[in-house]
Amino acid sequence: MNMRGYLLRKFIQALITVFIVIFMNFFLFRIMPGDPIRVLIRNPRISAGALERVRDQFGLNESRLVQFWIYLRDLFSGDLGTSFNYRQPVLDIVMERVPATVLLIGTATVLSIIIGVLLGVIFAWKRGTRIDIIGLSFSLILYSMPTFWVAIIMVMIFAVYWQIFPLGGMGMPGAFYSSYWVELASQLRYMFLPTITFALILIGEYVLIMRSSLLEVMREDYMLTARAKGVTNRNMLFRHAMPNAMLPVVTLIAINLGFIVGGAIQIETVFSWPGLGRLMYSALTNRDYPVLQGLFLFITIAVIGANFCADLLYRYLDPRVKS
Amino acid sequence: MNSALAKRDNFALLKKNMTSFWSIYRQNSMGLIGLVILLVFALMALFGPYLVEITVMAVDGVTQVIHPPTSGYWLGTDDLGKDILAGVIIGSRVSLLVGLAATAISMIIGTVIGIVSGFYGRAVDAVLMRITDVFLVIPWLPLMLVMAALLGPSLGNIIFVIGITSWAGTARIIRSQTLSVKERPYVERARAIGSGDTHIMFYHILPNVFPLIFANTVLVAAVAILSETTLSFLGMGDPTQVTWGMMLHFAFSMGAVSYGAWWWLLPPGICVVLVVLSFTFIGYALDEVLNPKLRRRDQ
Amino acid sequence: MRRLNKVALLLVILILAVSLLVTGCGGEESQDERNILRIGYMREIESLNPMVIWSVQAYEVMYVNYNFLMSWDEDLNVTPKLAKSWDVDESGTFWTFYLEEEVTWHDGEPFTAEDVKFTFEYIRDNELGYFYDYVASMEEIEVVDEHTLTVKTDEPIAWMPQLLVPILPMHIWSEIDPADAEGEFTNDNPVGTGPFQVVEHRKGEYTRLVANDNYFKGRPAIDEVIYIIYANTDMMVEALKQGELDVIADVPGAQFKALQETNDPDIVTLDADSPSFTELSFNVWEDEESMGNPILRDREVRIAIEYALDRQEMIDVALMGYGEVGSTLVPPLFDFWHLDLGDDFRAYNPQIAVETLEAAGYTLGADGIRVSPDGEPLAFTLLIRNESPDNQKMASMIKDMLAEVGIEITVSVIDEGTLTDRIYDGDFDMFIWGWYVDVDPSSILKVVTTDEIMSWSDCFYSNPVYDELHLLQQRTMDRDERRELILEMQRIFYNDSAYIMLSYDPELMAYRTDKYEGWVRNPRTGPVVYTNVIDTYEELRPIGE
Repeated sequence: MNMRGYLLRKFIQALITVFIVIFMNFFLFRIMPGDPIRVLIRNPRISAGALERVRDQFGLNESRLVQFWIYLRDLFSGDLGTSFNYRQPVLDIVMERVPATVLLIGTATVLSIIIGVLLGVIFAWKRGTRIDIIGLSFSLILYSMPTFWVAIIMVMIFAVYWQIFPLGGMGMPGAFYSSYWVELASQLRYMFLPTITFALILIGEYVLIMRSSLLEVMREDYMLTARAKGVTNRNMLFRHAMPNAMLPVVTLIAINLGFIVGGAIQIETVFSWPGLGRLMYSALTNRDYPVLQGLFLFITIAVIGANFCADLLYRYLDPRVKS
Repeated sequence: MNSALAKRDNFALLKKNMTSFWSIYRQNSMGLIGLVILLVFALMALFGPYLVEITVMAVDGVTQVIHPPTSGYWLGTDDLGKDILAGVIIGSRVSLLVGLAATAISMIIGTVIGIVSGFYGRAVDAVLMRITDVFLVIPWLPLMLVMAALLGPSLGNIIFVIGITSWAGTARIIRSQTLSVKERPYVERARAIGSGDTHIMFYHILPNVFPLIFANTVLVAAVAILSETTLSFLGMGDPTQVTWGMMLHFAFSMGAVSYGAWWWLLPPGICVVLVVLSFTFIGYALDEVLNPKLRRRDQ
Repeated sequence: MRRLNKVALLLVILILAVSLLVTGCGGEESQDERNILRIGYMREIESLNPMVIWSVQAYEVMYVNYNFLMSWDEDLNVTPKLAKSWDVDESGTFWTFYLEEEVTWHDGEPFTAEDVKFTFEYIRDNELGYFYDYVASMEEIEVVDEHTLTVKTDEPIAWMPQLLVPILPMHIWSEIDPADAEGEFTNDNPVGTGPFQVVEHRKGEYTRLVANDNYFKGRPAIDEVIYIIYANTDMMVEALKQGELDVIADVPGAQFKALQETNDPDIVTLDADSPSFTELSFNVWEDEESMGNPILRDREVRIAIEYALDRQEMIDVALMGYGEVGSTLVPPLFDFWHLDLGDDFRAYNPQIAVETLEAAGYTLGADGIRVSPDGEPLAFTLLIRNESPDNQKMASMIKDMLAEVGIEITVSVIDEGTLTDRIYDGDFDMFIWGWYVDVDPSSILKVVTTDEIMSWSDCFYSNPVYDELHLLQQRTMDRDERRELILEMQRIFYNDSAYIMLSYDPELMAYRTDKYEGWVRNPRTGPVVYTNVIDTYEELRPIGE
């Protein structure tokens, strides 16, 4: 199949997925028990007239089908609805939180890939030795830990017991810094614990995938040929084995994105990190359905998009897929 | 007559497979460790709740809340003065139950969709696989949280939510195995003698994909138990039930961290890690025992 | 292969170096000259727009950014604020307010009587927010001169000077469409007259206010106030201990106790009275639409339940001992209005509970559960909010205590939204929730009047005598005379027992004393921040200044 046809097919598939998600997203939020507007009643002392206005504003008086149509129309004009809690457009609220989460996820992912790949290579190279076995068990144990629990343990050790890192947040609000470097150091200090915790959680899987992928590549014919030709070990590893073994890692990053988002929710909750995850947590506790709905859609589309990109990247990188 | 015979044959095959499988499996030390840990927890969940009772620690009539470990209360007490060790033991039952029930739902959905999709192919396959893709790509935790929040906190809802969101991987694997199984001669033969679709799927295909179902169950169970813990921790659990996740939820929200109450935070967490680890070990061992290439090809 | 090890080693060294750098530089933030008051809280500030806010946290920011016409002293007597004095004619319906003259808005515009008239009319005509109830009865508002204003009401209003209404600048709000005012208007740079003004608002993170140099009561001694939102209480408590915060509120019992036990000489823990209570509410709706268990409409059953509950034990365990056994609708914090029941209080006595039930014909069934004369079992469902772990603990204790007297309780945990739904549908037997009480008792007493059914009432209580007294007290201008009526209302409602008051809840807070002094509690036994007044913000100063 040629590249363009492949691209088109993948794109259409992604588009269909997005539509199914939009559909699910809408109806999921209409089958919930109870009337969302009632969340507003007990709290604010709202008059009957005002209540009616709010109902109109949220389109709650229309039929389901009309509501779906309104929803779709608004969606395509970038309107994800208005937050019950903040009384502001959901998209604005979500966008405000994106940088913090991207920073956290990005740093942690890069860190975990570098360390994970490196360790994976070492373990694969030393297959069967004690280092390999210890490393492998350690990766499996990390992989088995609830993310939030690791985060709590890290806070307990480093922020409560030793007090070398701040407990959470992205910085001290209103703090004064004598120079840019002091500010940067302070920022890094706040970032350190959540990022390291996040990376720890993610490393395990990269180690495992890199190790098994490298082992598989080394068994392939061309590797045997290379060895027969007398290519040195180190050369073989870096020039021949590594690039091919990296392929599954690329796919894993994309597949993992859903898992990473889940991790971010937990890490951000424990560390008070003001990103999308914490927004989701507070929307859950406030039962702020429009925010929850918008956030869910936003995250899902981001993940679908990333998967699509990874597909393309994979095709670009893999010599066997290239026609 | 014919079908009864076929049935016996296939299940005899399955039994034979299992026996030879065990002789390979028991040579895998990781798998054995996992199995032993799991057995210990299974026994704990089965008999524990009959052996211990959650008592409140009191000295001279004063309830001892968040008390460090002491004789009689080996893991100390929580914010209500309740015995944490007893809580951990009794919590094992519901924690495992939720995990296993959710796994069962997930496996049933995954298997049915996988077999039906692989068996019928064409439009059925296309539609089912599109839906499967959607479930594969949607980030799990947000989906589970949203559903749990909408349905309300109860044990049944947690099981349902985990089950309904985690079947996609299984469906994919079962489908690809079905595709290869349905080309085999005995399936052709069964079709030739006029066996119905349901019959073929149940008596000929299911026994042949069974080892894969088995291997996958273990991995899904690990995920299900982690999910229960995480959902409960984030406040979506049923507060009237004692589970490890709820214990951690209360510990965190009631201030165990600033209290330095490690005896409250560590034990439930360690139990979760051990159970998940045992499933992961078993899964890893199964992966080596069963042909790993078979599964990797279609992922 | 050897090179690989080197790379790994290098990486480890790099990480260590970065972490050392990062930990090493942490201490240099202290050259800051500003005096910043940092306040930790658990709840987000949902908006800066006074017309849509409802949480205590958002109200606090509004109190500091805006001003009311009046305030209260430590004994809850009304004191002047934007209005330096006021008087009323003999009819009790014609009020004159004399306003402070040297007040300017944060943007420099002068504050005048026009602003007050505009605020009242804007809220009244558009039925806005919480504030509508306060201005609903104002018929005519006249500006006499730049700093004098008269208000005519349709009937005498006893609580009249206590208008919990933030005065808004006309030059800004007259431009705002009322629909927006209650909708998407964010009010990012709220212009008020208060001691501080919001300059930075990061949702879910913090809200920063700077001192108003031209504050009419004198510039505050602190330069900035920052409200910092925490996702979990542990982190908040630790931050106070480590000096990153100056005061925290909303502390759960366990952490509060731990904080008390640390005996840090620089930290004051405050088990303050707060104007709130937690009640067990029954569905007493005598209507065919009511889906509650009809047995609970029998007063004898409700009274027996009250006798069967050991509320002190519930407070000791579920609230870690922080709280006071509840009795009437008006908390004792407002001691002038609170009714002391004395011997009429139904204290814990399971013996009386059993006798009451027996006398009313509820006999013990074979399975240990009592049955009514009609043969119906005394089995009820207790609804609990998912959001409140404390209520969940109380519920499990209630279940055990009522089982002792032969009443079966099924506890069901649902979220606030669902509970609200079920309350409005009359689809409940009983539930636990609480109320926050205004300084003037009129509004809490109003909640259980017949008029409030399908509006504010959550027990569907209806008693014509009570309703009559409520109207009467509102028109009674003599304070002592009015007090008698209010005490009588509390007695009537207590006797009918549609609520069982479980506890009067405290506000558990803590503050540091090594940086600032001048913390003011209001009322005398109340909190230092999150009260109805802003004395602490006006009085607080660095130690030694």
